[in-house]
Amino acid sequence: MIKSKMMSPKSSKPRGLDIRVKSGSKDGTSNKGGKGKALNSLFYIFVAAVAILVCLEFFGPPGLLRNIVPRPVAEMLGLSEASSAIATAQTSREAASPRLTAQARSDDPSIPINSSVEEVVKTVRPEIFFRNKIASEYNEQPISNRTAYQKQAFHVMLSTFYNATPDGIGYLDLAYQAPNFFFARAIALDSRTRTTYMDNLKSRVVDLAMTDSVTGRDGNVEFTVFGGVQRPNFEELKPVSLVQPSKINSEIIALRNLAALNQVRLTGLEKPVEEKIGSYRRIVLNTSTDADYPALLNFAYALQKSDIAFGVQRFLSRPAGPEKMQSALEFVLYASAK
Amino acid sequence: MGVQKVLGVEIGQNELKVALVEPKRSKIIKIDTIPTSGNSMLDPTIYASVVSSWISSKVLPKVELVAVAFPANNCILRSIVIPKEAEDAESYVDWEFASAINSSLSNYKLDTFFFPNQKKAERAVVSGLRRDIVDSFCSEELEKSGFMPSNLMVDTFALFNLLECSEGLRGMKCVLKADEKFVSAFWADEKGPLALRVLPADCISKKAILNILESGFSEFPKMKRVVKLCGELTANAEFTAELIASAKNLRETLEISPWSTISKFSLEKGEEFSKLPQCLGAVGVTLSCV
Repeated sequence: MIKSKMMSPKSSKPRGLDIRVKSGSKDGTSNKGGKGKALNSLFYIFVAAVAILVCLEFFGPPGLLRNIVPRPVAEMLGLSEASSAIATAQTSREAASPRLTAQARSDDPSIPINSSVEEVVKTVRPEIFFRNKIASEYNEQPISNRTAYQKQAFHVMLSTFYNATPDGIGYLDLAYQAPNFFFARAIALDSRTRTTYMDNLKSRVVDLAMTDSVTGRDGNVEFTVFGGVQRPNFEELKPVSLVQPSKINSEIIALRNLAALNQVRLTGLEKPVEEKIGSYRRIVLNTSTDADYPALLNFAYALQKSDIAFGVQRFLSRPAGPEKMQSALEFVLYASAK
Repeated sequence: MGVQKVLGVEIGQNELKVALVEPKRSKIIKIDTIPTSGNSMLDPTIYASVVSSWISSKVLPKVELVAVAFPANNCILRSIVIPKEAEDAESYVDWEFASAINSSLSNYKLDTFFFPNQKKAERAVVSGLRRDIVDSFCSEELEKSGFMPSNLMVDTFALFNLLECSEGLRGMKCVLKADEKFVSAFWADEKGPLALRVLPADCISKKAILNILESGFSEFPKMKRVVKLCGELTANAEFTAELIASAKNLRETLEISPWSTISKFSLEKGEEFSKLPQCLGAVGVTLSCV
């Protein structure tokens, strides 16, 4: 039976939108909040005490307190007039040091010392750094453009491994990291299968290395490959602008719906980690899914074709039982600060 | 002391559906539909004055409680799957609801129900009605008139309650509520409402109704394709007959039948109950007062 609470006064107060997620801790003590508050209070008191001591050390006791604080206490804390005089002398010596550095730089004739502002500005020549330079590298791009690159690179990586993996190869770990790095710990039925696999990969990736190859008694070969998949071309990518903060939730919902459409059930979407960096915000979603490889590949394809502003920063897939896999995906979105 | 009588009122676009019920005895005393000149959702005083004059004209006994069901098109109705990692299901529902609306959550009053229970919630159904509308039902004027509802609930939930109390929810059931301005259908079993489909006023046609039913049944391929029809459009005999016939002609036949009898409920002798399929929301909402 559904009992309505619409008219109850209790529900009249709007609740906050804090999403709490199970931490995995088994400790269910109920006075956790009280303990936390007490610890917080102690911490604040400690910080305040340290701040007061530091102020007193630097500026000495204020005139009003000078005759009130007992001399032994002041001496013990290093607040006596003699000690503050020493501190002042040290500070003034330290303040003089930058001048010595400036003198040393005067050996370089290209940097005018003690010149007019106009002369100094004339020596600044930014064009020597940017002349004929086309921003084609991932790290040179504005951050918002990187997510489009990540989406395409993630799809390239998944499709590369999908097409390059012959029968007889299994993965213990398969990882991708933006911009185009991959890492795989694989098992081949025999060394011949491994060779075929490596040949397939070589023709599809830009960097490839193999290490830690171990042959087991049954002839299986366990080995690690890592390198970089084909880089997407920035000129072919649709530029992405910073997302408005009010649209962040819509982007999360759109991402979830796109994943669901492609039979990928993502968990962890309700716990975005937000970080303010200067003039923009970075929103990271740490998600996991038990979707199979073809479903993930379809999702990656749909994601790169979509206008969703989330890119894929990291991906790690591992087997989770027979014919099953568990994958962790770290999505990232850049939003404007205001 | 007599048995508590509850007046259930279902608000429609231009009419009110009323039902006087003794929910504890599962007895329906009277039902009726009353045309109104205006939308009671926008002005609850319309509902209060209309119901007041209806009671006095019919010389009805004193009503102890009033429960109101509002149409689903006046609220936001969502079915939400709660992820296993969500520690606080209620906060999760609030967050998801807030993500789905283009205004602040504080502007809405939510009615959330968790299935199978709140502690181990797997799914939730939530109806959000604008706070100013809810507040207008709590006005002093309405309180003085004696028609301030003790319960306010979306008609879909009222029908779910009625289905549970009358026939039970063993085996999956489908209810189609076809009103003049809105059509909704829900599928439910013991675990609660499982799926929900709605059709706005501009899209209402027999074909569109059958499409939403097909889409719902495609989620439950093993379910018996039987639909209970209620709502304002059941008064339109031609429409109902055509809908039933079209459903039978589908590639996979759908059996639609008007929900005209409520098992486990007794009806007052000598009263007219031909409008029962239209007033089921009004009957259902009284059950939440038990």
